[in-house]
Order: sequence, then structure tokens, then C-alpha cells
Amino acid sequence: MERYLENENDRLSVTLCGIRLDNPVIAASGTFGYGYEFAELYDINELGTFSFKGTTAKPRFGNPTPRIAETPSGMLNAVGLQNPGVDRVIAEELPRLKAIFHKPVMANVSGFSTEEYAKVCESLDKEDQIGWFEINISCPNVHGGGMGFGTDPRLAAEVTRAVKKVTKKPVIMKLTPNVTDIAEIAKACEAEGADGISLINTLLAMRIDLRTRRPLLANTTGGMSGPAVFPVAVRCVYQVAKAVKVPVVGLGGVASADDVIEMIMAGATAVEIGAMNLTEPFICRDIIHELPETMDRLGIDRLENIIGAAL
Amino acid sequence: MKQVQLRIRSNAEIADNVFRMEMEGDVSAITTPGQFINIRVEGGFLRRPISVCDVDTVVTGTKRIEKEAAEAFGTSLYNTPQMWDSVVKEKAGTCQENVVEGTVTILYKTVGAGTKALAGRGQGEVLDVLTGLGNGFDIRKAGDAPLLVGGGIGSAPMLMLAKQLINDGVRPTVVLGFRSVSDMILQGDLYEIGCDVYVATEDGSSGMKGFVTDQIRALREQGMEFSQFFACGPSPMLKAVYRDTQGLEGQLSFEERMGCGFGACMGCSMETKNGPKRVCKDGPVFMKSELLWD
Repeated sequence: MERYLENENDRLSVTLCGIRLDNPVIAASGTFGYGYEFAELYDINELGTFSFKGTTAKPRFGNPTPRIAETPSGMLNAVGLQNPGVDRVIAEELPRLKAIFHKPVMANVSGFSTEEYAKVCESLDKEDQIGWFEINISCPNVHGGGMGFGTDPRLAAEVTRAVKKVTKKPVIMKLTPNVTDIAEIAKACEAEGADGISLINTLLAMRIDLRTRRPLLANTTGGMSGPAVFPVAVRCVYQVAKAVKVPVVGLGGVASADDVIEMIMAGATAVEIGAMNLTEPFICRDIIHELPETMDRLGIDRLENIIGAAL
Repeated sequence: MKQVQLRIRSNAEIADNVFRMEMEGDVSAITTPGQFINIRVEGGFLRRPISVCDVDTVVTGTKRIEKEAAEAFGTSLYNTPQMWDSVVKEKAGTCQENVVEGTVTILYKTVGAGTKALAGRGQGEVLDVLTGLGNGFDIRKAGDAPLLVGGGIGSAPMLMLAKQLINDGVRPTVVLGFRSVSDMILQGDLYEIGCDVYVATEDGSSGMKGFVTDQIRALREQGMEFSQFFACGPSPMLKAVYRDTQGLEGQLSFEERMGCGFGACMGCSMETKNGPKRVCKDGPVFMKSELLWD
């Protein structure tokens, strides 16, 4: 019986940059805070892991409100990297997290200069619970940083190099789909030693309030996410998985166990779930529970066997 | 917070484009006036956050069956504790233990596709709802002469708040403001439960012509004194009430476009004296002393 259960668990587990995950489901940065809100609802240790709220060197309030707008099958956000800054993340958030989450966590890091990315990673590097760095060079909602680094292969390479210098932990570069050739950016990161690539961040978008004739978001533009972007994400994951040898983490509009499997077939080793956490707070747990049955239906023995099946 | 399925008991237009919906089910997560619920609507990706207007809870399970059995047969029929036990337990076997069930009432205005879809739902239909969201009003601070101020659809939480205050033996004064008499809601309900209700309308079609602040000023000039104010309404109204209530402490409920409604996305943040706060999780009610409006 015990052996059977062990095999059952093995069916879902994957290895991401040398660290074993019980299952491929990762809650995406910016939709999961530091885990506390969800820990009130279910045991977040059921997750593969989660990527915590994007952290910068200094505290940031982010953009003025409204920061949220609805779209067909999705949403726009222009939060603008609100976070308490790396010092308070280390002093307050991580000790609290340790009490509720007992797995390696993914540290999402943002910045406005190459030096800032390196500085934040250097500070977080000493934290034992951090398993991976996810370097956000793809935030569309800040000016003078974020996505600016992810749309130019030279700058993407520069940030990768700077971060790799300050940490031995795996570095996963998070890419934006708002580029002509996403595979080129991924290759530039890989060439500088990136241990993995995660994609996609949100798509640059906007909406207009018909009554006021003004943009709905105070920031004018925002990042689009939710099920509407899923096919775009699958395409990007597929293109990048074809172009690089390092593991790929797929995200963008994932809403079901079927979507998780589609992402893995497109070339993802692990799959992040973002916007859906906001409207269906139990979605990550439910998907993890549904995976074995979905795999049975599709004749999949182990998820690891189907990574990149469509390539 | 709880994710629950609530069954619609009634859903009817009570003023211009304002609907009153009563739903039944597990409402146990709703504990404080000023909290809200977040409803999944057909065709929408984001849920719709709507203030709780009123809650009526009933205890079910073993306790309810005990109560019903005692009412129907009298306790004397069951002359041994074992017999009582077996009858109640047998009946209770089919239902959950002491779940708090009841009804929740919301008032909402049809402004977009989501609320219009909600208006189209009828009795018996089931809605997927996140309940018990946000930090509501702190009635421990009410004192002996609380002033409740509601503007338009923002009047909704005042009914549950007033009921709790009256339960505590305090009779609140309520000032409601509307554009016109055709927008007027809740003044009858609040009057019936024993509140002193004053109405102001912008066009003078009911009550005093003017804004809630004109009405509040008039009451204070008549010599009325208040211990704490509780306000909910559009942002310009909240600012005016804030400005006009010098020397009076109060609590204000805010509205903001939300992503999740439970503190995960940082979509609805606002700056306060105590740093950035999330309207959905740290609010929607904030103390006057926390605000940066000076």
C-alpha cells in the first residue's frame, strides 16, 4: 500500500533546476502575496511551490488606482510592483512564511537597474528557504525598468550575468511576450548562465471607459492575464522550449488540469497559475487534486514523461 | 472567508436601477457590518464585490432538531436522556453538525454587464460567492450617540450596522443622501427598526434639499451631539463628511476596483498614515484618524 502511494506521488513530481517538486503547480508571483491569504483557505504545502510578490530594493506603493480592469475571459492589472522592499521582506515576511510553508519558495525579484536586481538577489541569497530566483524582467507597469530589460536581448543578458554573479541558487528569468522574437531573448539569458526561463508575464493592453472617454486604468496601460492569454502563452512556451536547453516554466491563463498538461506538452517542466487564483482561490489545490484523474484519462503515467511531447 | 453556494430567495428592483437580493445558505463567515461578499457573475472574469446589507443567521444541525423536537413534542415525551439522544441523533444524522445557515441581503446598482447579469437571476438559482470579506465597522467604538451616514447605494451596510447597535441598546441617528427620491433606499427599514432617519436629496424631492453634510450640519446646529460617525458612500461624500466632522471620530467605508477581494493582488491599495493598506482586506472600513486627507 505504501509503495503504491509513493508511486502515485511520483506521477506528479518534476525536477526544476535540480530541486524536486511534489507536483508541477506553482502559484504565480503577484497573485499569491506571501502566501498568508491562501494559507487561511487550504494547506499551501500542497503546492509544488509558489513565487512570492515581486520584491525591489526599496519599498514601493506602486501605481495610483484604479489598477484593475476586466476583459473578456481575463483582466488587466497595473499594480506597479507594490512591495515592502527587500529589507522588510527579509525581516518580516520570510520569518512569517517559514511558519506556514515548509518547502523551498521561489523569490521573484524586480528592479529598475542591473545593480538593483543584483543587490536584491545578494540580500535574499542568504535566506535558506529561497530555492530559486525568478527574475522579473517583464513587468509592463513600471517606467524605467521592468519590461525594458526583457525586450532587449543585450539588457536581458546583462541582468542575467549580474544576478548569476551574486548567487549560487538557480536563476530563472521571467520573460515578457511583448517582443518580436521571444526565443532570441531566452537564448540571450541562457548564454549568460540562466538556469531556467519562465514565461509569459502579462500582455501590454488597455481599456477605455466609454462614459468618461478616458483610460480605465490610472496608469493608462496594464498587463493582461487570465484564460484569454492562454493560447499566446502556449505558443511562447513552445517557441522557447524549442530554442533553449534549460528548463522552462510555463504560465499565462492556466485554469485547469488540462491546461497544465497542455503547457507541459508545449515544453514546460513546471506550470504557474496566476490570475485564476484571484477569482477561484482554491484553483491551485483543485488542479493538483484533479491531475491524477486527468492523466488517467489521457493515458499519462508520469508528468515527467510528457515534458515537451509536442515539440 | 468562505467560498459557498447561495440560493437566491428574492431579487427585485426597489429603486431606480437598485436591486435587493436575498440569498440563503452558509453565511457564517459574515460576522461584522461593513463586510462584503464577492459574487461570480455570468460572463464576467472578475467577481463582483458587494456590501452586505443584512444577515439573518439560523443554527441548523443537532441544535435545530433539538429545538424543533422540543417544540413539537415537549421534552416530557423523552423521559430518558438516552431516548432523547437516540431520536435527536437519528434525525441529525442527515444534516451537518450545527452549521450556521441563514440569509444574506445585498443591495446593488446595475451599472455594468456584471450587475445587469445579476439582476437577471431569479429565485431558486444558485450563486458562487466568497463570503465574509474585509474588515467591517468597529461597533465597540460607537459610544451612546452614533451617527450613521449613507450616500446612495453606500447606504446598504447601514441596516446591519443599525441592527447591531440597537441590539446593544444604542439608538443611532441615520442620515441618508440621494440624488432624488427615485433613488431612495432603506429609509423605511431603518425607521422601522427604531432609528431616527433623516434624508437629504440633491433635487429636494424628499427630505432636506442638499447633501448629507447639509443635513448633518443642521442636526448639529439644533444641538445634537454625536459620539462617533460611520459613513459609506461615494468618495466625494466621504471627503465632505470627513471635512465637516472636526472633533468627531469616525469610521469610513471605501470603494475601489478590486481584483481578488481578499488581499492577494494589491489591486485596491490606498496610502494611509500607517502605510499602504488594501481596501479589500485591511478595509474597506478605515478609521478617520488613519486617513491622509488633511
